Amino acid sequence: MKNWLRNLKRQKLRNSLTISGVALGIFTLVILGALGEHFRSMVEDSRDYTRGMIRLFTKTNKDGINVGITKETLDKIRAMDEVLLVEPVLTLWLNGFDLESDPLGFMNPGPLVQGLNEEHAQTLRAKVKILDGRWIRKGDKHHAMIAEWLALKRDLKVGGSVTIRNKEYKVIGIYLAPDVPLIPSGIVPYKPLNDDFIKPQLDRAQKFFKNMSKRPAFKMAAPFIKANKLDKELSQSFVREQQSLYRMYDVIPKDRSDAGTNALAQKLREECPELAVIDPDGFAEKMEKAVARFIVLTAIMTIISTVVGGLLIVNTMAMAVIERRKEIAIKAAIGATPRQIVLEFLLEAGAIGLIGAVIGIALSVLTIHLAEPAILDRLENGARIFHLTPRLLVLAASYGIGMGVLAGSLPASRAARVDPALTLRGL
Amino acid sequence: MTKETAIYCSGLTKVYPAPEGHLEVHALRGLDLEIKVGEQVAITGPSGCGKSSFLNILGTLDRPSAGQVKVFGQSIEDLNPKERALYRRNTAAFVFQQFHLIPTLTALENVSLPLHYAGVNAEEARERADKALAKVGLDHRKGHLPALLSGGEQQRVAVARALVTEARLLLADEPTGNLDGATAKDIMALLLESIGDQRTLIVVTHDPEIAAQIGRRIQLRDGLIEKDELSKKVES
Ligand SMILES: Nc1ncnc2c1ncn2[C@@H]1O[C@H](COP(=O)(O)OP(=O)(O)O)[C@@H](O)[C@H]1O
Ligand SMILES: [Mg+2]
Repeated sequence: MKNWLRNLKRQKLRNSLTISGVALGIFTLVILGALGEHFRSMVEDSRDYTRGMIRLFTKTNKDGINVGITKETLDKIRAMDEVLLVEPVLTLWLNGFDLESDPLGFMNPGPLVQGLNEEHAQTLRAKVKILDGRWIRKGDKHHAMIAEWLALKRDLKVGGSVTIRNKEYKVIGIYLAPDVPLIPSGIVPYKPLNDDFIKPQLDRAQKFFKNMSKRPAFKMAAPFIKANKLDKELSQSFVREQQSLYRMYDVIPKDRSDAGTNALAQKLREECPELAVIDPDGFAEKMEKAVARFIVLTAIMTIISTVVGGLLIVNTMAMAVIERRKEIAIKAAIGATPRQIVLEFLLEAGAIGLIGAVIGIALSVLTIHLAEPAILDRLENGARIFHLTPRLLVLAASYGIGMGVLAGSLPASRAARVDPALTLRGL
Repeated sequence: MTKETAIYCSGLTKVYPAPEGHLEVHALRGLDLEIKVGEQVAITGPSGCGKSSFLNILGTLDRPSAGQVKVFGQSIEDLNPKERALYRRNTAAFVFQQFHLIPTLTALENVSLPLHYAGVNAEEARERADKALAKVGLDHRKGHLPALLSGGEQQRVAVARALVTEARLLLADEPTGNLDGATAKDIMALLLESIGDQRTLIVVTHDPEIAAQIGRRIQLRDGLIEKDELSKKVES
């Protein structure tokens, strides 16, 4: 007997309002949940991406200088038995960093390009799927692999060209990479990227120091120092300092299992205390930390926005119970048990919750489909913001039903306490 | 032939608690009564003498304040809410003065509702409800909502609803009180003819003409039995 449906139709306006309230809450839940799911999958993806990889960062010392990793340290690490590769990674803004054209650029970071040596790039093959073209190889110079989302956005094709940091690169491959900040949107050979980055700075620094050393005051103060050599050393150390802020080192262990990776990371921490050693767990932990605050915020906002729907259901069902006292008494008189009466109201409340949830889900899915491309267009980064997972939709639907049943339980239990004799008297 | 006892009451008392600053109401003051299986009984008496209170107790819609009630050998004064519901489902069925149909359900659905609560499957419930409606002469109106039916028709639906289960005790509280004379007669005739001789019928009425049709008449006054008489035709 579809009586619950008929009962819902009895108070169309009131029930529609209640359903709208529930739908609004579920809408919020799905939108925020889809954001949360996106962040969660970013954590998962970065865990996968960093598996079997240790990243060395340099620390800024107490004088405020980041001296980078010395050659001695690198040699020491290379000499370790457990180590397969130690390779530099240069990570830069793919479009350069132009605060003039984008004053809020630091808040809305653009895509990244990474310079990797060929052999090093090969170790990423298991994590980054090539869709078209080929991988970086020896002899490549201004050749670039581009993430699919960026290729789509800029209409880049294998064989075409792409502008990276004001230089033209030939597109040799297009790859599918998870949408994680850690994973670059472009991969190019290390050397040309580094040279293009360093050379102009080196030239400028050298020119500056050369001019300085020509001043009479300088000559008088240090007459024995060869100006030529000084220019070079000063400018190089100046530039190295700059570079070390953008360059890190990847250490690839021979044993790339989690145990092997962790063991090597531990050893590096002990032997090179001056370095920050980040292992896959460390990455995941950092990502999780970044995401956790958002998830908590999401949960709070979801609860707040669904509480309104819940209260509306309580109100609606309480009114329904009062209006239908006589009907409840009649049902009791013809043999409905208190439990059956309670169940009828719970079913009705659950139906309100479910209908609200279905509408809320439909609206949110529609909104995401319509709004996501526009938002992505503005963000100029990433391929996705909302991740609609099946479990999120199931959660939203069950949340709606559960909320309905929970909110309906108080009024429903009142229905079971209706006194039939008193209610049917003189009606 | 000595018939089995359908209803046995002893010292049956009902006191309604007093509202603030008022006296309590003694609706029943110790009824002693026995009704046999298959008997038809009219309860008469002035308004407020306790007729409905008595019927409600027999139907477990209410509990007595004191005394004993047994229906078909079962004590009903101390049943818990679920047992009372099962008792109303299986043993006692009501017909009310105000018909008390569910306004959102069609005639057919109203009649099959007791079966729905009894867990009878939808198809069988439908068939049985169909039959019950046909018996009261309403098979052409089964799709109608109560609001579209006349008072007499609504009461026919209510009678069908009371007879659709196997309830052995039919409790009718002024079933013709809201009907005009001719219709009232029809409904009484329907009730008397459709209950058969296995069911026990108790009809509350203050219409002497209706009471006269019924074999045994119990007259209440102030919560006590004033008169308990059998018609000659039944006595013989
Ligand atoms: N729930 C109640 N609370 C208080 N008094 C009641 C209640 N139900 C009935 N009464 C009183 O009990 C007396 C008997 O009522 P009732 O059994 O309905 O009489 P009848 O059906 O014979 O008219 C009346 O005085 C009535 O006012
Ligand atoms: Mg009465």
